[in-house]
Amino acid sequence: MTGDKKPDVSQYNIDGKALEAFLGPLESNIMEAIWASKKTPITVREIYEALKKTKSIAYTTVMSTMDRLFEKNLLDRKIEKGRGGLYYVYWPALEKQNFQKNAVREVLSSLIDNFGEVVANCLVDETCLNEEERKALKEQLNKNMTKKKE
Amino acid sequence: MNFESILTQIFQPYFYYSITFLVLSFVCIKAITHYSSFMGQRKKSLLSLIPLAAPLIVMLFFWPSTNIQTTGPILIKTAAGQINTNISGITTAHAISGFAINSAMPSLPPPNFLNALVQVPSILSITGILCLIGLAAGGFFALTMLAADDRVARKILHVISLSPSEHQWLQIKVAELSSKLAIITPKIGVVEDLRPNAFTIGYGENTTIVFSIGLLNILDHEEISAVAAHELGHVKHHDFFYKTLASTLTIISFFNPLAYIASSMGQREREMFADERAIELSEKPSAFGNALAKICKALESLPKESILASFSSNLLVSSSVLHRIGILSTHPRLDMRLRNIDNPKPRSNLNRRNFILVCFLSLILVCSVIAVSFVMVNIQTSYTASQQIIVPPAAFKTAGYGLAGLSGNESSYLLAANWSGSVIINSPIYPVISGGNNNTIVMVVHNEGTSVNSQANPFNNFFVVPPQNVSFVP
Repeated sequence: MTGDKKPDVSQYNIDGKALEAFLGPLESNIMEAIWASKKTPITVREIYEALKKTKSIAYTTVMSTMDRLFEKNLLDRKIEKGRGGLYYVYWPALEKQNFQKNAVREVLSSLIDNFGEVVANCLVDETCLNEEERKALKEQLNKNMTKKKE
Repeated sequence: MNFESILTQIFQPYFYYSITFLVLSFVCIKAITHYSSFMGQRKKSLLSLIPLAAPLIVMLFFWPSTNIQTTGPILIKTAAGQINTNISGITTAHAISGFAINSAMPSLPPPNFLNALVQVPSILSITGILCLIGLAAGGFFALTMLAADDRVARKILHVISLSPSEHQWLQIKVAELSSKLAIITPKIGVVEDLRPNAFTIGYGENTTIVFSIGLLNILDHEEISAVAAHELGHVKHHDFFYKTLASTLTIISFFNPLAYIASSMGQREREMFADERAIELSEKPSAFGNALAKICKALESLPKESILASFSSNLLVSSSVLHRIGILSTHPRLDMRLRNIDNPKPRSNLNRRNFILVCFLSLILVCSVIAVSFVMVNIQTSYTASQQIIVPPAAFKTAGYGLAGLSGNESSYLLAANWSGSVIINSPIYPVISGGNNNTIVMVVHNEGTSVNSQANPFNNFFVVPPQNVSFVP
């Protein structure tokens, strides 16, 4: 697992809880299951059997979702030869913390690129600082952003 | 194991008869099926079971003797039903090397060709052990397959059942084809395998047609339907039972490489038979040919399955569309299958030439079996004759012990010998001795063709040794 993989989180869901802000519900379930799993790498069937215990789900849906997660750089995979023939085994491309960090950074970077100072002001407003401290922080952030743009 | 003990095992009647019958019937059936273009795939596949059944039939005739004790002294029953123990000079090793002690034998068998036939291997000889392992493993396999339906195969092959919402078009198509064939609609499953493959597991209501993800990925709907029709053909033809029977018979003869080849031959015929059914059922007959061609092409770019995995999965499934090349392949070559698809109907014109050819080949089969059997018996006899039983003169007594019971033929002998440490038995084939009191063993020796009045003989238990096998130390 490497920390420098850039996950595709282009579809940010403002109403989503936790991972579901970045991923679909099933994608989140699968990623959580893979991160929680002690077995790495893992097959689609094993994830399907783990998820099937809690919800009604189809194998082919899990398979296509894991395929999509691979394309989004959240999972890595390789072909393995085993008792069931040739099959894909998957493992997470990023640790959970790294993924969250990278995803938040991606979203923030996009917001800053588009809205610059507004983002900085909003972030500062969300902190628990007094008026003076906020003002100083905003000035510093705006100065840094201007420098970054130049 | 020395050379002599290897020869001993080879000249066990069960061993050489089963090998001979299997080889000859295989060659003849192969020739008959090859030249009988009028014969359908079903008949050809059933004929292919004959070589596999040969060793089992031979085994019924040469059931290993169980009257051998593994350790300690040999037990020999006397006329009075007493058991003599601690007879030195005859060790378990001797018994294992071929001296079956048949206390239940009611009368002396005539020492001729038939006599050779009734000699049985000891249950503790290598031949006997192989024979019993094969029988036990074959029986276990057959019972497991029949009792476990598709459950064992599902677990081992990691088959996942399709939910009603998955591949609905395929589920509808399979139901439609099943109703055309008047069979119970089988369940549908998938396996993760990336190689294109489809197979059937279970029987009756528990039949499941399994498609690999690889197959679902590379074929279009029409081609997948054609593959489904092929698998349903296997279900219609009850290939689960054919496969179970063929595999069981193969396991019984597990030590004989030819059994695997014979089994594969029959299964290739079943494949062709199912191919014909797929063509009959398909709306677009070319779809199945296209599917096979695509499967073969895709397989070329993927790593091959290990032999062990292939063997184990092959045991569990009644049919796999997967193509393997080689003499052990359960599937015909692609070109043969495509040719069969183009011309699926067996030619039914039983012309005179073919009929004569088949009769001729059958005659060759019968003559060959008889000829080889005689040759083997002669080899066995000469091999046995080369072995000697040495009886020291000090131990040789001619008086007493049932002389009156013999027919008096000049070529017959009744020997009473004290066996206490003085007899070296080295004959691997012919059972030798029985009867007597604590210190004495009676050995009946006579030429082939002579008879012994067993009713008058005071000893119920005796065995025959050809005179050429006996010599006396001067």
